[in-house]
Amino acid sequence: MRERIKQFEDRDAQWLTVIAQDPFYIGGLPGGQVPYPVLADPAATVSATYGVAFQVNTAGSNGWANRPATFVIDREGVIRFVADNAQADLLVVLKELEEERSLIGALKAKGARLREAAARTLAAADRDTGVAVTPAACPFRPGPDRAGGRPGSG
Amino acid sequence: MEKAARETLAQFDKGDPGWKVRMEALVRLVRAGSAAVPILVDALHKGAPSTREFSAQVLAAVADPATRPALVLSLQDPEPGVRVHAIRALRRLGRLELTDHQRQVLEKDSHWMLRHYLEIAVLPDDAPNPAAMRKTLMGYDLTRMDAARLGQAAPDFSLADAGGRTYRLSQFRGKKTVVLEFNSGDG
Repeated sequence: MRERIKQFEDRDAQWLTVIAQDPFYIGGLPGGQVPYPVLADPAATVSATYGVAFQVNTAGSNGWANRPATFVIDREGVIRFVADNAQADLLVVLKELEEERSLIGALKAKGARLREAAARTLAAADRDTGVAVTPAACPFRPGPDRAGGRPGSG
Repeated sequence: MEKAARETLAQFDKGDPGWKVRMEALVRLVRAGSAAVPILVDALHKGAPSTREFSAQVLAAVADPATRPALVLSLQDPEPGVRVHAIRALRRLGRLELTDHQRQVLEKDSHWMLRHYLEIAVLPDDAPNPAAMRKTLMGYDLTRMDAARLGQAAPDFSLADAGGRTYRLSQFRGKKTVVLEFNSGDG
């Protein structure tokens, strides 16, 4: 597990485990210290909000959760992935999110460069013709409503 | 109030009605407070198996010291689920004091969770805080149940680890991807 957590840290991800138990139960868990926060949810309200119920499963061995679940939450706070069993694919998900972030970053940088180039061209046109090209006449001219917009959102 | 409490408990007479009904019933009975306690104690001993189990679960949330003798009696319940919730409830009242005989019987219990709880229930007291848990349950907005959805904002929360350090999900926003694992806590 320690090795796994290191891999998550390398992808700049924070691992959090929530257990619908009292803090003293967590303190008494076998294995002692783990290299990530284990959070106590004694009233199981957070678990309920995430649809992970808490019941004694007296027939089986999987304890309190009605379904184990792992959520991947991106930097914007959006749930991007839900796993209902082992964490096999999580590193792939994190890698994809990382790639998406760098792609968005590259697109933003490219957009900024294009806007600058357009502004220079328009300024040159203004000088050459003596006529100011208004934003209404030229949809490519950067305006307050367009500058800094999120790629893909418009 | 008493009638409402009885009706809530009656939902369990024919077996487990599912986790959402259970959660809602738990919140309502904890909100009912001390008025519901005699009804819960009655159901703990006389109810159907799944009603007894749920009553023990609610009493673990209520954590009323007056229910201690009733809970000790339920450590002998034939249903493992009742015994597990009873030992949980007793631990919430502080360090569990047992006679040697009680302890020997529980150490041989057929349910692993009870044996595990027994190990930690007799450890020196590290201040259970049932009042905080009751408050959380009473204030829980039931419309938030099962609200987490793929592609939508993750519901924020604030929880503490065993050392008392608090983590809020939103503290990582704009900084890190979070892998949030819900685990049954069985090691």
